[in-house]
Amino acid sequence: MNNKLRIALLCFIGTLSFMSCHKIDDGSFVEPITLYEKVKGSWTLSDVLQIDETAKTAGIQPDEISLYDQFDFSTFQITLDVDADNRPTAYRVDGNAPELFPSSGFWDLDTDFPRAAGPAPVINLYSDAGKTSLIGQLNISAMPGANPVMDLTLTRKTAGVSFVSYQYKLSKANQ
Amino acid sequence: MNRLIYCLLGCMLLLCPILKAQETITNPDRMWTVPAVYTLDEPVTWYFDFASATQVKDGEQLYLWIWAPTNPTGTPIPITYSGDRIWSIRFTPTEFFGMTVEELFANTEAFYFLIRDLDATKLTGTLSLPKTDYIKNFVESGKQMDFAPSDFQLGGTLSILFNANLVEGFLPAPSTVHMHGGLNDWSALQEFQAWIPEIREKTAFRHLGNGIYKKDIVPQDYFNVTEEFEMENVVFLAVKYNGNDATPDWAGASPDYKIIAPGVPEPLPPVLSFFPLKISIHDLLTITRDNNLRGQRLTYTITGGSKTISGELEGAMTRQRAYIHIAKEFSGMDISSLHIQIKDQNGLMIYDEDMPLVPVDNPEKN
Repeated sequence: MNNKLRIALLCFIGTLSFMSCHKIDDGSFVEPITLYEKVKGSWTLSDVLQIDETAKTAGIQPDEISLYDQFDFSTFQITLDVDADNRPTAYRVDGNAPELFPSSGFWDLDTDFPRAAGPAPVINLYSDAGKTSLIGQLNISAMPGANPVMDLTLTRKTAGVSFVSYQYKLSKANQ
Repeated sequence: MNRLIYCLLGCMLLLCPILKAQETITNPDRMWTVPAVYTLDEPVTWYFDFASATQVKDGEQLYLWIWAPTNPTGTPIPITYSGDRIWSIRFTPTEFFGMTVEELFANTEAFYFLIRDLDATKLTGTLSLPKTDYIKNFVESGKQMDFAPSDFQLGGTLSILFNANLVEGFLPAPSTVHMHGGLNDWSALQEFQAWIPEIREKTAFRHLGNGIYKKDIVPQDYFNVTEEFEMENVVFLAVKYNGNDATPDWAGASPDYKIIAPGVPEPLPPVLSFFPLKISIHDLLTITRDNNLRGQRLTYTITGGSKTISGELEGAMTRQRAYIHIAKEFSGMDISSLHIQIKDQNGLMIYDEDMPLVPVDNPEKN
């Protein structure tokens, strides 16, 4: 009986030793790709739509018009800078397009990664490098994918209700 | 008794050749009057188009045989060949029938007659033209302006009626009333140049009494255009003459009227719109006006606080637009509304209203 118990115990210890010796190869660690890598850089304008949110809600036509050929909008270019670690730093707008949001400052995203569901990611614009003073918000209404194009939408609200949006249709500038 | 029978038989025999020879003329394809609107005490021409009547030779002498309201002469009345198988007769009904306007209207509803040759060997069936009281109908219509015929042509007579009673402040008129008009949205003109006596005469409306005015024009002659001119509309306003030949001038005018030429589609009404429907002081505004008049040029004036900007709407007849950088023009001003005026080149005010500027929740306030 004692022998049987001893054999069983030895078998159990042997099994344990095998388990503890198993090593999984995870490879070397790589930082996950963030949205910053997709949206960073300089973008030029291919079109700009003014959207009448009041008309859109009420089903009145027209509810959008292109302003690309007006007000020098075609000269619009926005640059979203990042540091060596792809973390957001400053942004600036070049060209003579109407300044519908401040033309320079600092930026970040409200999320580092694409959301599976829910609202589109938002670019927050700040006046200070510490990113405490919000001066604007642009929705990324179309995210760059295989094609280097992106839509940024500025929506103005009054008493919590959207009444006008400006949709900037952008293409990655040649660098 | 026998004598009576013989007498009747004799009469029938006598009538036989006449009855046998009598031929029916196909009724006119079309009958009309010029002017289309006429009072019974003014000259009018009746036209008879015998294009399809094979019984009538081109230019043949035909006669009017009329019995209602009366037969004025008791004899056939010769009518005139006007070419193209159209015959006509011109007369003034009151004189022609020796009756007053009231008597004529109190008589039959229509004029009844036939057209025949001198011996009545051939004749049409009974024909009629309505005895229309155009003026009464016009007054009852409640319209400020009406015209006839609906298929008027450049080289034909157009009758225009104007009811001055329905234009606020128009009456009393110190003197005559005149037509200040044009074709195709004022591209060919016959203005009321009050200081030129011949023009006063040419442009004068005929006063039919009680503030009702009538004018007959042949557009081609009246506006002095060629027959190739493609008439799309007749525009005019009725203008009061001050009656002072020493210092002749206008003494007031009606609104503008437009008569669309037959076959020309009714123009779409002008539409003024602002985009977007709500704006803030940080936005861009687009003013659009569609379906403008020919040659109409629009300008805008926008006032916010102590600043006023102005400019032109660019484009053509179908659409004119102005893009306005409200954010730049009124930046930094503490205002809650803008006053917008839109006028055309003649000073016609198209829009004259305040537009509120909504407050913005967003952080991006320049």
